[in-house]
Amino acid sequence: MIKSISTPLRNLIKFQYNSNYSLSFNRLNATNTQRYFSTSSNKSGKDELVTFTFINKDGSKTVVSEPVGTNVLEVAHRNDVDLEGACECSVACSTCHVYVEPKFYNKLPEPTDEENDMLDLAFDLKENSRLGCQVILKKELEGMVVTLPSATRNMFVDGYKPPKH
Amino acid sequence: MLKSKHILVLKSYCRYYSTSNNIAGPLKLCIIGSGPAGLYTANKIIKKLPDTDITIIDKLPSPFGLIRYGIAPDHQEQKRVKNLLEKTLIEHPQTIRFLGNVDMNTDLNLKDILASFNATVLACGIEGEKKLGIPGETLDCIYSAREFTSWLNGHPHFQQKIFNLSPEKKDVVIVGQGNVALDVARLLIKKDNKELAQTDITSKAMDIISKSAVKNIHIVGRRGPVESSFSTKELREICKLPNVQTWVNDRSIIDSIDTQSEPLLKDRIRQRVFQIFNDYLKPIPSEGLPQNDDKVNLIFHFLRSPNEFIESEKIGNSVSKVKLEVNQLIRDNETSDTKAKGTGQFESINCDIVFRSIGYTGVPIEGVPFDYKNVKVPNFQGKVLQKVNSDNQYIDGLFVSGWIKTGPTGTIAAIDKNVEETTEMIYLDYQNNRLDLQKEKQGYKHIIEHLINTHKQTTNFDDWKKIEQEELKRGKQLGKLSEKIIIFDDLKNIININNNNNNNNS
Repeated sequence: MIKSISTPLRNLIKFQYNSNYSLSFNRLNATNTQRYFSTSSNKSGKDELVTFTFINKDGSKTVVSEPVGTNVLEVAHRNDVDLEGACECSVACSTCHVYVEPKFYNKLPEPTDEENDMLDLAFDLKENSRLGCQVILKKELEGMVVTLPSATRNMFVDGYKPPKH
Repeated sequence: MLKSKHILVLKSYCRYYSTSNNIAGPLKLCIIGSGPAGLYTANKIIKKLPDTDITIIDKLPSPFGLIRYGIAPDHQEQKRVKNLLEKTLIEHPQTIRFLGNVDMNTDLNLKDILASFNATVLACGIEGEKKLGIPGETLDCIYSAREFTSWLNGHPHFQQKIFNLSPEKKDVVIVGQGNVALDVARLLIKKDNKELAQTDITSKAMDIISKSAVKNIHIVGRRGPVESSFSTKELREICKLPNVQTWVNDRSIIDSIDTQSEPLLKDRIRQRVFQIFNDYLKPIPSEGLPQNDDKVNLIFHFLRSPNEFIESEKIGNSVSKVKLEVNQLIRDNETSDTKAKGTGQFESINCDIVFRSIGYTGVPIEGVPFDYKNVKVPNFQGKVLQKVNSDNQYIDGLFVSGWIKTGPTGTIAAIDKNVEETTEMIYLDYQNNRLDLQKEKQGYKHIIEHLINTHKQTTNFDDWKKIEQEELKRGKQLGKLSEKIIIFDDLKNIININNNNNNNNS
């Protein structure tokens, strides 16, 4: 049944379903609703999508296509990419910290002081670090790679020593 | 999911250590502490091992620990992490159980818990508080900053505390250069702030704060602007408040810092913290601080250590001055660490109220080794070691998450990765059959039976939701977000606590 519904509508349903858990995704919800209703009348809706790739914590890849104007954290949530968003896009945490492929990092507007203040607290900060909730999709970002930081990616190789009895 | 080289390592590991029967049943996991560390652990374990049967114990009747009682009420956006963590509990009613009002040490014992579960995670934070250990510290009106923020957040253990903020008290000294010091200062500055009154701050605390009339807030730290532990967000926030003027005890301390020096260039946070100080802190005018405008003076005193609190001559046993020793910084060239060293020169500032916020000490848990130097349980990537520096010798089935793992520093932002590592360790131990999975463990059942037998009143997740609903209702009546229930008897009536032990079994 779900398959016959357009992707935006399905996402909308998903978000409303989430809100049953009294999660305050209200802000996301509002922007989504607006956008979906405005793009649904747009015949060339396909042009509005940006396709890019997440590299997950375990190294696997998730390729996504999402509308221009969406932020990377929202995209992650809608595509089951394991990116937290503890403060729900209010720039009060750094749990949606990602690395943006340098070539595309330069195409983003400079981070604000507030975003930089939160990046200060991010785990394993790099030159190309951004908060996912502040990276807004636009056409120029077509093909970018967004990598999730991982605290455990190297644990098997470097860290874990078999315990002694 | 794993990279091929990871699998190789795992395979060789399995060959060595796994028993013949490697097909494990569902894991029974006990998490002690339901603050951010404990709930993140549940959140991440259930993603990796969806069948895990998790019991979360907390000594308070409600979950969320420092999210509820530590984060300042005017930082509601930081408290939103509660939604994410609560979702985990809501989505797994059968496999994740919350058991509140249970003290691990007095109501249960760790040995018993370890025997009843395949794995146990200590996520109970670090609670002991450092004192200055100087003369006069027991005078009236010298308070703990952490107790103050707990009190105004409605923490049930601190509601009997009295904080004297009467309007004749104009000068406040806060000792410490971390974010808790800034929380206290900011909340005092925001005394007339309507938005603060509409948060979940207790009405009682808001009433007391709003009647205060603090004019000068001195933040005193033994080291310099570069060595402070403030985070940029908190520092920028307080400097930008509309009714505050920011000063520095000695502008030459800031001006003499070489911004091109190696340690500063390498450390982004310290660099940015320094930039804020440089932009906002003015030298104290020769005629003294303005006292007749409607702004609060916020003065950062760098390179000063409290040496003695001096008693008021007018009001007996009350603090009136603090004597500070002037320090100089000694840099260790090898480690590039700096140490504050007293110069033997002294000065003093007036103070009617003192808040102490100089860090934490560990309160060890019976049966668990403790690293007093680093204020944490010794561990390797979350797996508890048999003793400090006992390389590769572990206490089987015992793990740590959060502050008790890394020591009491770091904001909620750091917890995510802190816990990710621990859960990976549990997962590896599970995969490699290190968690005693063949033995039938009683888990939750054993604990709840023991608590019923000892007539211990406990709370579960449904009780918490009843508490929360009542708090929201009371808040609405008062025109604020929430009014926390701070009296235990009140709470008992709300959740009908006497009947709920039976409901706990599901």
